[in-house]
Amino acid sequence: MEGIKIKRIIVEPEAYSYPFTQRILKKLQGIQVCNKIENNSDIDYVPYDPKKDVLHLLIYKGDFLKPCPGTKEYICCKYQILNIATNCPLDCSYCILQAYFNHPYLRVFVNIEEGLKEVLKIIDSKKDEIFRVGTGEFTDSLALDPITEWSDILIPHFSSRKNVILELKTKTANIKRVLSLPYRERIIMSWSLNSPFICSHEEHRAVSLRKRIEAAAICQREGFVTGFHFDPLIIHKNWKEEYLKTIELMDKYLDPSKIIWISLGSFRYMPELKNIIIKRHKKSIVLNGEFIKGIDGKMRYFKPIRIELYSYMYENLSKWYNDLGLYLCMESDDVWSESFGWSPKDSNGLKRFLDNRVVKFYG
Amino acid sequence: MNYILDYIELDSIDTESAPFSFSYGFNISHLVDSIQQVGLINPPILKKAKDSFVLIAGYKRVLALKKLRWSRVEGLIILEDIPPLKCLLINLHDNINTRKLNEVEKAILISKLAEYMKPEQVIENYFSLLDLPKYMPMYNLYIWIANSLSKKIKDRLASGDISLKTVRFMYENEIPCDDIEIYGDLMSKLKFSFNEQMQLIEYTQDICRKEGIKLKQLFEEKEVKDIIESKSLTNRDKSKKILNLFRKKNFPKLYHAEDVFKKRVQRLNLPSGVELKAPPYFESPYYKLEIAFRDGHELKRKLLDTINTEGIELVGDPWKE
Ligand code: SF4
Repeated sequence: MEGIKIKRIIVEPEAYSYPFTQRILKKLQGIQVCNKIENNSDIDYVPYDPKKDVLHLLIYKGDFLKPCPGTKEYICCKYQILNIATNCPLDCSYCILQAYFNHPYLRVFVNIEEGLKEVLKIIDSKKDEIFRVGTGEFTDSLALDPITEWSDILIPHFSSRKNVILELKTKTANIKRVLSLPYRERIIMSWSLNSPFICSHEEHRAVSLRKRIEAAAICQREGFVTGFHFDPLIIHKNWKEEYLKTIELMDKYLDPSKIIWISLGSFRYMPELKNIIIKRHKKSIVLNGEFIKGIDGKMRYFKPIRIELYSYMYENLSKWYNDLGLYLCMESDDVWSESFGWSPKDSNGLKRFLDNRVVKFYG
Repeated sequence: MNYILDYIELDSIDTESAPFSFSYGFNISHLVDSIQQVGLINPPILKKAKDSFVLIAGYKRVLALKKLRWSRVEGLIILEDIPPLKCLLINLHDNINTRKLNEVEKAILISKLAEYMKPEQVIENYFSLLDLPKYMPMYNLYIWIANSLSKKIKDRLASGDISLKTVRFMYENEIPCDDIEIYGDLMSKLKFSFNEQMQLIEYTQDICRKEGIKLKQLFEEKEVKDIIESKSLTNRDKSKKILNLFRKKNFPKLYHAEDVFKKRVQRLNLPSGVELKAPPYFESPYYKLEIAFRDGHELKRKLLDTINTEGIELVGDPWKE
């Protein structure tokens, strides 16, 4: 299954009857299936042993569409998260999910088809609003796609609506299913990018930077609009040269006019994550910076360091192409102004900026 | 329970092995004094072994009597063959009703209980008695204290020189044993508040990780040694200077910004009672002005003086020229 190995499947009793469950079980025939979580000690030490090879099929009882959990202290883009799964088979050292969820396993919600109906009702009821929806916040959008076939379920519905875009954000090259579908409109294929060093040293199980960019180039050629996310930007040895290498690779493979946006965000983490990184990723360098407690309680680089990072990226990306829809993720008005020379002022302003990008690309 | 009160020779009581004792870090001089003044109030509890008596409860009392060179003591001798767990519990209840156990004693007791039952049972049945929250990581911490900490560190934990919070921090952060010894030595030499103990560990571990050096190497650096070995500084000054040095190493840019800001404000020559404050870590863009005044006249005067202070318009983020 394109690099992802599932060793065990846990199916909650009420999840069995769902066609989604049945499809997965058929696809993963031969893999051990159990009916419920058998050993509670499995759950005790979650952060240190996240069990990324166990698929947990269950029903999600909350709202499938949720606003991104941004904080009011910093400017948020007002993105909507389509909650199809939590936890991720990839294993980035800096991944916030390690401290975010108090359960192990790759949790996949089998009632997605029912949930989707509700989500579409909401979207259809607010025709004047543009919904920017993504599945890549609590998991990687495509890492499990060969098993779950999420793209088959989601893409047709989003592609046919005029007030929504669906962004599939990934660090994989699992684009086969998406490409095989006849839909291109309003589906944004996005990749998280970093410096070649960070990609290979910190983003375990993800494909190489080159493969991500090659996959993006294929999608562009196949008619998709693409997006990119430099998040988290990380200070490391020769970071300027390293990030420049990434921009050079982008230049080599990509058509910048087909990029709807590129977000920049510097590494930030909940204080609890530090210990988890130290224990789980002994060789990681992501904590080697000057981190202070931000106004939202998360640790982030001292402000002038962030400004230096953003200004550098802004300058070099803009040199490549000056209409990339560059924006900052969870930053303050003053950091925006100092790094970019302009600011959306508040979250509504940023939403407007990104909605306008959607209009520009899709009308 | 079948028992008798009888006099027995102190020499026949085995105080070497003391299998049911969990006393740690005590000073028996108070007990010696009290026995001298009013005699022994509570008899020790013993059980008969082959050629001697095994102490079940009253370990410190017997040590005090030996120090006072008593030859005999009246003890409560249990006649039946009671299992070891029961002996341990008799001692626990004998102690818990009269005093608070220190953290090392709790750790020893928990590790002894663990010889007879599952961790979950220890937690469920005894943690409330010991004033401990009932959860597994706490159990693991105390087992670690009992089995992995050196005597030196245990002594400091028992005496309160090092806080449980600090020890827990070291445990959760998997601080290597060698490093723990270094911290223990430093914390006993210099005076750190409990919060400072944690800061010290966090700063130094971060520096070592970033620079790829061992803690020992860090403490051998000249500027660190100079502070620790200084003859002119008090221990309190040393601890403050050491923390400051490690903070500077860890946050060079922030430290520099704070320094520049402080100097700029000092140069301003603001009216007395007027203070300019930077936001924490300069994260918020807003600085604050604090004015102490007695009445509106004074406020007006200070405000005008502040506005007219030469260079006031240059106040701002210190990393900007
Ligand atoms: S790809 Fe994203 S969700 Fe998955 S481990 Fe990496 S950071 Fe976490």
